[in-house]
Amino acid sequence: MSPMAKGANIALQRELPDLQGVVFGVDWDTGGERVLDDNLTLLTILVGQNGMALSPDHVVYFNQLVSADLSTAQLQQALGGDDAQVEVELTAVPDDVSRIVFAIYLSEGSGSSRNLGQLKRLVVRLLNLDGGASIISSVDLAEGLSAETALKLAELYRLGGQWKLRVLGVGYSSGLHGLAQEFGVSL
Amino acid sequence: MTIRTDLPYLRARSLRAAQPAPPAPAVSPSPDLADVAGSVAEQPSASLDLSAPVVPSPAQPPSASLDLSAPSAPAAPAVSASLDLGDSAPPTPPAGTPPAGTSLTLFDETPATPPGGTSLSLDAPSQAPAAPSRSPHGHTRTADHGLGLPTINAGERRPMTENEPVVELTRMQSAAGGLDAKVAVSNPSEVILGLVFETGDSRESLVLPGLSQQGPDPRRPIFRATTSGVAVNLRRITDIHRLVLFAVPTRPSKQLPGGTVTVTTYGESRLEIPLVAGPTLGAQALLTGYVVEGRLVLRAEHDPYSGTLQQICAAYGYREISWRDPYTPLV
Amino acid sequence: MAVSLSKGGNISLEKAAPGMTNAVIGLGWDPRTTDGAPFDLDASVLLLADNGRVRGDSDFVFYNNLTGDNGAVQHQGDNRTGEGEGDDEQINVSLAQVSPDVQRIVVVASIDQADARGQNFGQVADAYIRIYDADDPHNSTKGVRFDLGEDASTETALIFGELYRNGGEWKFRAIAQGYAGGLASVITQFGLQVG
Repeated sequence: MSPMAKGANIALQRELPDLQGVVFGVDWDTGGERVLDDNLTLLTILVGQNGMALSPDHVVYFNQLVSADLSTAQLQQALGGDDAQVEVELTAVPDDVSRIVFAIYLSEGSGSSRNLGQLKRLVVRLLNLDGGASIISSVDLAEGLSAETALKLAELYRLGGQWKLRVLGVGYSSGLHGLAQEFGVSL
Repeated sequence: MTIRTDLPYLRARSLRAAQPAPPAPAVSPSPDLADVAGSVAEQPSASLDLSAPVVPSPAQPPSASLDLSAPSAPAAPAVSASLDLGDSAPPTPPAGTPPAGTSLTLFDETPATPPGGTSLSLDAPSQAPAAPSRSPHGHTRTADHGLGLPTINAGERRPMTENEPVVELTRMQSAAGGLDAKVAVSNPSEVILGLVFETGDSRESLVLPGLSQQGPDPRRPIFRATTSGVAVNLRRITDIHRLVLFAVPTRPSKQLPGGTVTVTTYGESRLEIPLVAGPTLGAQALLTGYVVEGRLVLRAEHDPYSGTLQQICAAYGYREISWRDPYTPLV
Repeated sequence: MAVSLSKGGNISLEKAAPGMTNAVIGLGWDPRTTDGAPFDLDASVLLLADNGRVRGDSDFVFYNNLTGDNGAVQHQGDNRTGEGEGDDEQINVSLAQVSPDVQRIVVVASIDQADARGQNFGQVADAYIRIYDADDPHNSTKGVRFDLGEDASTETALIFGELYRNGGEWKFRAIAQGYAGGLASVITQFGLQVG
């Protein structure tokens, strides 16, 4: 399957009717820039009907590795070639979660400022949680980035009772603030 | 058939003098953050009352590491009244002492430890969501114990008074960006801020501007000196166990100026800690921080005890540091 | 819920369309929340003679030419950002007033400057185009809706469908043909030239 462009979507269960869960992986190339590597942070938000995070316990990141409903869990150490990974048990996602948004941001606590335009490469992919076979991967999302410090990578969403994945690749120059504001995450 | 050679309006639109109003009302569907923030910040009232004034406990810490040979040694180190989590030698609370005067003793949070492994000597109501303990694929989540401590909203300013010296940051506040500690006094050159800390892997060290700019690992620091204070990189919160923010006078007279020390989060919550004017023996502890189940609990110490920096560190349980002299750590 | 159309689908509102004398074409989307140029979607129609081409430039009704066929077709105005509830752009078609030599009315959705801005329908939140009966707006059977973000996600223009004469009546045929070349790539096939 050819790499998915920004904006493209795929009906997961049309391709894989028995799909129970997925691993969302992010693979970034910072060109050896340690500050970028250290501060790139994966954030996964379980979003309700109103477009907002269902609760503070439905935001998954390094300081909260598992969502309150246990459906979504970030790995402390990604497997394979990815730099960060989140597992989503699609069958365990509560009904009031209408989509799951995967994002990265550059944490600003180190005193050094960088932006995502400095990334050499940024690819996301989806694996079958059962067995780890690759389902799809994206085009290089780093292309076209400049001053962004946070980026919505992709979203899993429900449509007609099925799960779909959409590749996003759009972001904010306001970092985590931008993500927090869009999804109602209290800072 | 007209062959249009320039359909210019496809590239640049003409301006219309009077544009018909769109039929739909122009209501911006902007997210109502205030509501979300408000509901999130709601916490049940504290069942563990840490807001009582700090009364030095009669219980001395069992350790004898205080340097009593120093001049004017303090009577009661503040460690007995502080929120002491996972200290290597936790003070034993005397029987019958109300919770306010005793320590809250938690062991280190280890993510791999099942909920039962976290001992908590407080009976605050658990706010752990009622979720199954294990998902089909085996995802588990350690229980969150509601600490029941005061919280703070984004953008809020909070004077850390003696009556309400404690603030518990949320997991997100404890992980977003960094904490920035700055001193607000009329003559900033009279005082510097420093941090003594213990990492998750039990390393103790200090950041002291001019002596030790960052720590623990200079290539990937968690704590660092800034132009006007010190900062904590909360991207590394999982590597932090505890910390003390202190002030050191720069004048030979060892006089601390009066003023305020502010600690600001990524969400612009601002904790304001009074810096009391007066003589000191070398350092004054201002704020302690402990990481409790991924949440940073910060407490203004209002500590009248004054000592050398070495004594202050020892009083707060940082004993794994070597000293060049009582004022100068060997870093 | 209106009839939803998916890619390549061809829905003919045999029952609904004959009763329709005033059609509304509605285009809606959510404003951009992220950095970058706004998503500027456009609704337009082309009035075609029986040779399948426009009679002239004025038969292309869009943001810079809001009225067509002596007022039979009325574009309610351009929306550049998607701000607002419900339909963000609307085109009204009074079918009875359409000139006899207009045989078909092609309905198009497109993104302005999509190429330069690197945009496609899939990046726009809640983007749709629909057609419904102006005299019976709440009758969901008299409407067709296409979700632009789902089945035309990587496209930048879409022929949603066409109103056409059938005997003495107007009907609507859904087409849902996407194009990656923006509005220009659509209108050139109907006898308009860009450039």
